[in-house]
Amino acid sequence: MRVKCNACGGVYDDVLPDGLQYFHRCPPLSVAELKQAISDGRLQLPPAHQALVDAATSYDAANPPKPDQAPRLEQVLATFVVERKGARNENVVAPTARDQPAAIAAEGAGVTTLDASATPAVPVLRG
Amino acid sequence: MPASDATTLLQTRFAAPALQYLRADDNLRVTTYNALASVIVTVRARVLTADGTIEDVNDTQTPNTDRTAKTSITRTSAGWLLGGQVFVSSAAPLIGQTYVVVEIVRGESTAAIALQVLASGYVTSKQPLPFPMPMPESSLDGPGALRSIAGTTPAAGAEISETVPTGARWELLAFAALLTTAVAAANRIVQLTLDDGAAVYGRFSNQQNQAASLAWNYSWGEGLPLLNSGGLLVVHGTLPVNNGLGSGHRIRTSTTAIQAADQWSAVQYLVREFLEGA
Repeated sequence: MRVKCNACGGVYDDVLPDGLQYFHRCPPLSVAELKQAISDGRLQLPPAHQALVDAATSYDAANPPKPDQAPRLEQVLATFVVERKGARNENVVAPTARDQPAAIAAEGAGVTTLDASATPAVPVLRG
Repeated sequence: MPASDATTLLQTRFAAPALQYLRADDNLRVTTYNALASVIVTVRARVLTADGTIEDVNDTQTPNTDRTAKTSITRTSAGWLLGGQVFVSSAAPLIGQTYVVVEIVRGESTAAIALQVLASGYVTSKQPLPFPMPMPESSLDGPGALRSIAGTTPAAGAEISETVPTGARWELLAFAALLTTAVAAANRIVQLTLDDGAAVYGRFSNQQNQAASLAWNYSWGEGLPLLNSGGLLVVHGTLPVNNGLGSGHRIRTSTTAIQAADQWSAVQYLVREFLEGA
């Protein structure tokens, strides 16, 4: 069954062609998502991370990156691991006792079932 | 059988017919760790009772499919356990997908006391697990199961993140994905990162700038050199040889300057999977 995660928008099959279950876990926020969340005020960075962001922002202002260079701020944000709200983690929690049923780690925002013939996002060059 | 019967039988023979003597309250316990759907394992054994009869033991179990333990107890008569086997009687798991432990236990409830491991190892429909076996196998022994996995296609502007399932251990042999960049001008630089579920312990950059409006295939592999094949739009990166990723560890992309309309897709990777059980 093909599903779409309501938290991260990822599309996947819950059973793979080799017959094994697939256990989805939402990715942490990407740099683009981080920047958006910070600018929207939805995300408050810990003080240590905020200090790194401030330093990188000052560095970029004083040393504008060349066309083939990534801004220092982008590089710093790429090192952060910030989990998204409502993240889903389908991996099971190991039972503490023999033969106890295993529960998934986090339901999160749930999933939406897609049409069986739906394909994952097809890359299209935008321009 | 009362102990006196066993003693009498022993006194009338040169040697015990087998090393494993089962009391009336001793039984066989089969514990499975399995990843494949629709698997059924069958356990069969022969027990020589004190009156000289060979009794057959025959039982089945349907393992869990999420790599968690499933146990079943098969009742046996008192006597000498001559031998037996566990085999897959439904579905076709690979070596590395169905791991079995056979024990002698005292009692037949979930609180039965484990007394002796008779055998442990992977089973398939073609390779039964005989018992008793002199050298039980660890679930980390052997070649593991090769799996080619199609990962989650993330939303636009999001990164790839794949997780080692609970109860599994992976060796990441190869990882491929396609990054299609949007029109927004920026140089995207891609890293593949490995983490333990939270903290990153490995970053493997392809060290290439991918500009706007391009579709590049990224490929990481054990022992691959760094390479950008230009016109073919293929970028190679390297992975540690003989790497090992435990349950909950993640394989992620981290793309510097990724834009909201950039799209990762065609996520496909090859792993060697072992069961650690949960």
